[in-house]
Amino acid sequence: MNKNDNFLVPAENDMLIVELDDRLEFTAVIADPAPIQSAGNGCNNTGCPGAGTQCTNGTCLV
Amino acid sequence: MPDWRNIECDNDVALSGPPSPKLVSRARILPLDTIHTQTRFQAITPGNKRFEIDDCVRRLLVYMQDPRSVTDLLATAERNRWQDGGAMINLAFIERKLIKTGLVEYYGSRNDVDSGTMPGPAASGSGYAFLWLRRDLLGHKTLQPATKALAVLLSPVGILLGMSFSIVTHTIFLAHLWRGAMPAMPSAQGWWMMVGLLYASVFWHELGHASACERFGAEHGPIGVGVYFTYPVLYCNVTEAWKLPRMQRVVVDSAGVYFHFLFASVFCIVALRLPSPVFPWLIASIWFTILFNLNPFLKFDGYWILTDLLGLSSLHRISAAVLRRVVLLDRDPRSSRELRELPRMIRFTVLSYSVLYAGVMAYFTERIVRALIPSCVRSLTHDLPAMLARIEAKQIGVILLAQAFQVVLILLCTYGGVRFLLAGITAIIRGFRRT
Repeated sequence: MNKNDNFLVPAENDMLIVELDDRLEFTAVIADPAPIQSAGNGCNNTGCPGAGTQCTNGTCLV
Repeated sequence: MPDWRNIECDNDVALSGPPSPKLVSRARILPLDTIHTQTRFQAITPGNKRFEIDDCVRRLLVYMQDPRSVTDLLATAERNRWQDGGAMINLAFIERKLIKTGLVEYYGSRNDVDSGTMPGPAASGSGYAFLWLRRDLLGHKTLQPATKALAVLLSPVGILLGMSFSIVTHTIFLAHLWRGAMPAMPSAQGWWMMVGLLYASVFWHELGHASACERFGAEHGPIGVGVYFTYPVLYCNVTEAWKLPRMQRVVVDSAGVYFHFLFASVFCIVALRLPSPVFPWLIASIWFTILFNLNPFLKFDGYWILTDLLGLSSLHRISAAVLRRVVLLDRDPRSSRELRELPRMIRFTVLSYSVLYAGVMAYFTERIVRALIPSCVRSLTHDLPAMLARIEAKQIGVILLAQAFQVVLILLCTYGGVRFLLAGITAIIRGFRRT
C-alpha cells in the first residue's frame, strides 16, 4: 500500500500526537493612536514629532 | 527483532536486560475538548509541554505506565493494529514521537532517576513562534492577588453588571460625540498621557485573561512584552486553559476585550466631566485596539476565540496542512487527518479560513517590503537628523521624546518584519524539502 492509498482509506488506528500550542493571548499596542498638536504655536515644516506625522496648516497630523 | 545496539540510552545505571520504555513518572493525561469526531486527549510532560493525542496514543501511554520491553510494545501494537502513517508502529516511532517529546523514557535511565526530584524546564512551545524580544514582566505569584480579586468581574452577576455599565457609559459618550462635541487634537504632553493610559489599558486587558483563568481554576502564567510579527505586544500565558471545556476557553479569550471595554467605560465618564481632548482620543484608540485584536489571522484574541468556537486545537496548524496539500501537493495522510475528522460545516469554514489566511500573509509580506521597510529608512534618514538638530539646539522636551519613542517603535516593527520574512522563507524551503 503506498501513501496515496493510505490517504483514501484512513487508518482508524493511526496514532496522532502533535504539539499543542502554548496559549499566549497577544494584544497589540497601536502605536500612533492620535494626531499630535505640537506644543506652542503649532509647527513649521520641520517641527513635527515622530514618524508619520506631517506639518499641515501649522498642525502636526498623522 | 529490534537491534538493541542501536538504542541510545542515557544512563550510567546498569541495566540487567534490554532498556524498557516507560511513561515518565509525572506526566499527566487529560481530556481535550475539541469538535473532532474522534475523542482527543492532552498529554503533559513534567516540563509542561503539551501534546494533543488520540485514543490510540492514550492507550499506548497508559500501557507504558509500567516499564515495557520494546519487544512487548511492538507485539502489543501489532495486536491492536496501532499504526503511524499507515504502517505498524516501530522503534523509530517510540523514539521520535514518545521519547524525544519527553513523555516516555527508558526505565532506569538517568532521566528516570532524576525525574522524581527535579522540576522540568519551563515549556516554550510553538505558541512562541514569531514572538521576538520576549520578556516576562510579572509572574503568576505576583499577579495572583489581583487576578483572584478581579475574578469576581467574571462571575455571572459581575459580567451582567459590567456589560450593563459598559453599554450605558458608551451610549452616553457616543450621544455626546453625536451632538458635535468633536475633540481637539491633544498637545504633545497630552499625547504622552494618552500613550501611557493606552499601555495601561492593554495591561488591564491581559489581567482580564489571567482573571478568567483564575475564575475557572486554571493557573495563569506571566504577563510579558515582546514584538509579535511586526507589532509591539503585551501577552498573557494562559496555556493551562487547555484543560478547560471549550466554552470556558472562549470566556478566557474574550475576557480581555470585556476588561478593555470596562477600562474605556471609566474614561467615557471622565471624558464627559473633563474638557481635555486626551480622553476622547484615548477611548477611540481603545476601540481601535479592540477591533484590531479581533483579527483572527494572527494569534490575537480573535484567533483564539475563533479556534475555540470551532472546537479546534490549532487553526494555524490545520490551515498550514491544507495549504501544504494544495500548494505543495503533500499527500501524507497524517497532514489531512485532522481536517478529515471535522464535521462538514467546520471543514468548509477551515478551508475558507485557509484561503483567507494565505491571502493575508501575502498582503502582510507585501506591506513589510513596500511600506514598513521604506518607512523605517525614511524615519532613520529624516527623523533621526531632525532629532539630532533638536538636541544640538537644546530643544529637549516632550516633542523630542515623542519623536524618539516613535523611531524606536518603527525600528522594533521593522525588526519583527524582517525576522518574519526570514522565518517565512526558511519555512517554505523546509516545506519543499519535506515533500
